[in-house]
Amino acid sequence: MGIFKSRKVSSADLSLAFGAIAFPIHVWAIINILIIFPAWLLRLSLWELAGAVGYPLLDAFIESAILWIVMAVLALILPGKWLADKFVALSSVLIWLLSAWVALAHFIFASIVQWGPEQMIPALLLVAFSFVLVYGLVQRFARLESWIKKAAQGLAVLTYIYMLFDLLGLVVVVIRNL
Amino acid sequence: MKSSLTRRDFLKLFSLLPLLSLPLPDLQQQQSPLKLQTPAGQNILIFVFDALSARHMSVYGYPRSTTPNLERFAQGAAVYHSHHSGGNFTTSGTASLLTGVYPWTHRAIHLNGTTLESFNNKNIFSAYPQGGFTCAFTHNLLAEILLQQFRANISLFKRTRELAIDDPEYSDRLFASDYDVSLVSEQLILRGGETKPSSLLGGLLYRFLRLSQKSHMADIYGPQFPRGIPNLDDVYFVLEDAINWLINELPAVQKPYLSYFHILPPHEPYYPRKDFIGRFQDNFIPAAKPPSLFSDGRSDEALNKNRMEYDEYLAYADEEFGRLYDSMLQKGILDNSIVIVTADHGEMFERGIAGHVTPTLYEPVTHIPLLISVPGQTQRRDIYSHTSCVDLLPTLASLSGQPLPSWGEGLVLPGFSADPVQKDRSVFTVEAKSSPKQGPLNKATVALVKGDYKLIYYRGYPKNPMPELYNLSNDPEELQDLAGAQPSVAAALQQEIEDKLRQTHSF
Repeated sequence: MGIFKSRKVSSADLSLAFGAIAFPIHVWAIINILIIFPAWLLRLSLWELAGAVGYPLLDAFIESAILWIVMAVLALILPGKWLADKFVALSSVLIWLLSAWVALAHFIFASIVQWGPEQMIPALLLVAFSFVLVYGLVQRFARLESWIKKAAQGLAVLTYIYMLFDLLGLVVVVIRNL
Repeated sequence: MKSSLTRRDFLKLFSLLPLLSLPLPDLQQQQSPLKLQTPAGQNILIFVFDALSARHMSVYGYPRSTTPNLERFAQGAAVYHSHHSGGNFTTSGTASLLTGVYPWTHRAIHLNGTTLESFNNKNIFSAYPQGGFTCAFTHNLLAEILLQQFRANISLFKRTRELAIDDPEYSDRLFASDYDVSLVSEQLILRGGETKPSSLLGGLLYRFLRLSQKSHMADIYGPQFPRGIPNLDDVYFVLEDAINWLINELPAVQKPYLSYFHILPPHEPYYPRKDFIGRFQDNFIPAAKPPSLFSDGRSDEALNKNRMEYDEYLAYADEEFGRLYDSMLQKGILDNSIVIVTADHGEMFERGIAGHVTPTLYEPVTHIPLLISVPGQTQRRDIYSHTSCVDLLPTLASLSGQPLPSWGEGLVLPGFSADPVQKDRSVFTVEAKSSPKQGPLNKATVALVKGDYKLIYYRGYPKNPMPELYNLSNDPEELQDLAGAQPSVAAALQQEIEDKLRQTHSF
């Protein structure tokens, strides 16, 4: 138990990390909602519109929570130096990087499905290398960690606004399904 | 005296916001409801082919033998030669068929749309007597949303997934009480469509998972369906399963019943069974037509290839219908059943456009089949008057000795009415996907067929297309636009459309 205690991440850091992790997930969701919103506006009533927006926001919250839990569990089970000591910076930057790669994959999905091993293996190696590089840089340079932490703090404020909409989304979804 | 709202007051008001969307009481619902029941307790079986254009059916004279089994069925049926859909895609066309009103009234005019709530109890199912048995099935999720809306009056609602080989949809399982809206959201979250999936990670995982599942399905069904497994909106099926279900279950259904069965073929993608591929590799070349202002730029060669594939898929659907027809004959179901065969809308392969997702309303998209067989009918009867899908509900009411529905915009079909045929009858088709559900149809296309003429009227499009006028008697292929040569006819028909739009608060 002592080992786990030493790897414990403060609740303030957990909260900050959640804000940073949830940010790209929500931005992606909101951009796509906004793209389709004019079409929805034509055909849905105000109450239906609230429901249609509520579900994807709720999904974004759940997706953020899952990633956050995964990072928190990793921080708990891995040696402190690996993740827990720089939890906010490392979890934030790794999830941001993951989000960037996933967003790119969405854009080029039609090409990806045509790839054979000769394209897929180098691509996966490049992705893996990018994670190792970013992880190494944050571990190596304290100033970088500090910048990321500051960025995480700034983005977390925005995310807490998104959380408010998530909460409203939850209420709407629950009422609509009563 | 306090001049501003307290936090508590604000929250109280905020909690009332959802009430804004509640429908106003519908005074028409206070009227005594229509109840369909045929005099001899006959069953009513409505069989809808999705995207079936009458212009492609050999039963209507198409040169390819696409519908030999429907030709057999027609030998004991009334065959309507100028029957028109209410809309040009599933939602609007099906809603008109089920409610007996045009899209400008029911307002199911968008993909995944529903009708106004006032039609929840003004449709074919609600008109059937309480205690009478109603059942419904469709492959098409757009039609399923409408059936879900009318579900309170459907005794046996066979879900799409129950007769599909694969259906990843979760909305009806998790959010059944909010099906139509949750399905809209599900499509955004996992499938995207007009956008990328809104679920960043889940959406990508879903896309890879579906690839793997499709590959597995292809291993199983690929040899039978080399062009691809029939599907729509990520729901995969084989038509045989649905027909087998009907063959096995129909005799056991509580009688009398009203059954609505809406199959997807020949809707795109055109993936027939192996034995239908290559059936129409002939030299048939349809009439060349000028490109539409809304052309997608498809070449005639590409369109003819699409047409051939559609015809093959239609022949496959017809053969499956034939299997059902033989089973009904053998089991004596036709002796006590009114069988109606029709479609929700048509399909076109001309003027640079393939399919039906188009603002245009040319005949291949709006001219749909209607064949009605009543017990004891042994001869084909051809009827050439203009009719509409909104006529089905009043016709069923008439057959059951009921007054016409107070809300309906249709007439009893010729052949089932003692009244003389109205030769100057106006029949409309409406396309308004880009207009709001409530309020004026500010961007729409309306086709009006009346007498010898058809006017296609465009409203609110950026290219500002002029109305098109055709004489369908002399020019059934709509080759010569007469709007310039006969401006008074065009103006009169345009005026009638605009008056109709005003009457329905759509102008």
